[in-house]
Amino acid sequence: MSFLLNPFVFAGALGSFESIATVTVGGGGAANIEFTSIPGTYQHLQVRVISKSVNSAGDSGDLTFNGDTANNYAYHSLYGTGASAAAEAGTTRANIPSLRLVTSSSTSVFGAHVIDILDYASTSKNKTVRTFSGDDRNGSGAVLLNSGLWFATPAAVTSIKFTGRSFNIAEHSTAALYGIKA
Amino acid sequence: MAATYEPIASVTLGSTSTSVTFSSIPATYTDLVVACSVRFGSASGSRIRFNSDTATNYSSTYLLGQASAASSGRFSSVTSIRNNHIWGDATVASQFTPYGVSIQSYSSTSVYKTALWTYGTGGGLQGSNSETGKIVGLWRSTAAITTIEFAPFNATSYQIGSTFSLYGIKAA
Repeated sequence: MSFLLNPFVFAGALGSFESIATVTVGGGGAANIEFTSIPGTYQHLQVRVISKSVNSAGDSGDLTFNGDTANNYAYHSLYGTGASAAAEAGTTRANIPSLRLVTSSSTSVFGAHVIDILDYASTSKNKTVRTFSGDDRNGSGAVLLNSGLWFATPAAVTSIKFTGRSFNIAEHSTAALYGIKA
Repeated sequence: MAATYEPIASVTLGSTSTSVTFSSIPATYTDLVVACSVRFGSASGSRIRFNSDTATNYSSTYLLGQASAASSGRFSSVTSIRNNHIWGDATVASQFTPYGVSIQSYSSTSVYKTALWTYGTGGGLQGSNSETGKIVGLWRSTAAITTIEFAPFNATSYQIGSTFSLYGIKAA
């Protein structure tokens, strides 16, 4: 039983899914959430996140690997706004927009995200990320499917960082990193 | 590091049923995942409710692919999180619809509960009608989830062989 048909249901055989680290944002918020010194002992990584912004207009949580903030990323997004389905893409950019940071005005509502980083420890592949995420705010919100690429190098991913683009990530936002063995 | 992603409970229907409920869910995990394979007696989808709450405390936003068209919509202030917008669930013998539902921070008493739900019927279901969908659903409650109920949205039942499996994932 080792499939990746569904990124959050069949993430791996039972017993091969291990918790590596968790970050929960404390009072006042934080500029970023970061995992460092990620061991190369798994086949894939999964990050499970709930997120919110301190800003009343919301914000984006942008993903970078190994401290690389040069224009070495690209992404595609397919999303539903509640009114229409749409897609967008970005190339040669400094990050992958991965987290919808929900407006601070929607009390107690957090966006949810499941992010898979496949073959993260490979030294012969550029790294590809896929994300299923969404937030519903009872009359607004969106559901999204994203794919992202880090094409600078085939280096193993050893650190993952989500940064609030313009504002802090809000208190109670949580990111949990898991490793999946083959 | 300790392994996680643990099975909590699983149901395989040996007779038809109008609902399936996981109750007394322990608060010892960080996230829940439910994997289902369902078939209905007649056209329907499923609805999900938490903690037996039947008030209008739910809402959802969906993204669908139906044949060659993509669309999105939402339900606000409704009594459940639901799928089955047009074609999304199986009624044909031997054809089951897979569901994957992820509920993060389900035991937190600080946040409303958000569920990510993916489902899809295979191509060819009842001719060319089939659907794949992604849903984000909200339950406006800060109560820890202790009960999850799946039920057909219309007046029908889950058929024999439908399966529902609940897993817990515990963060470090």
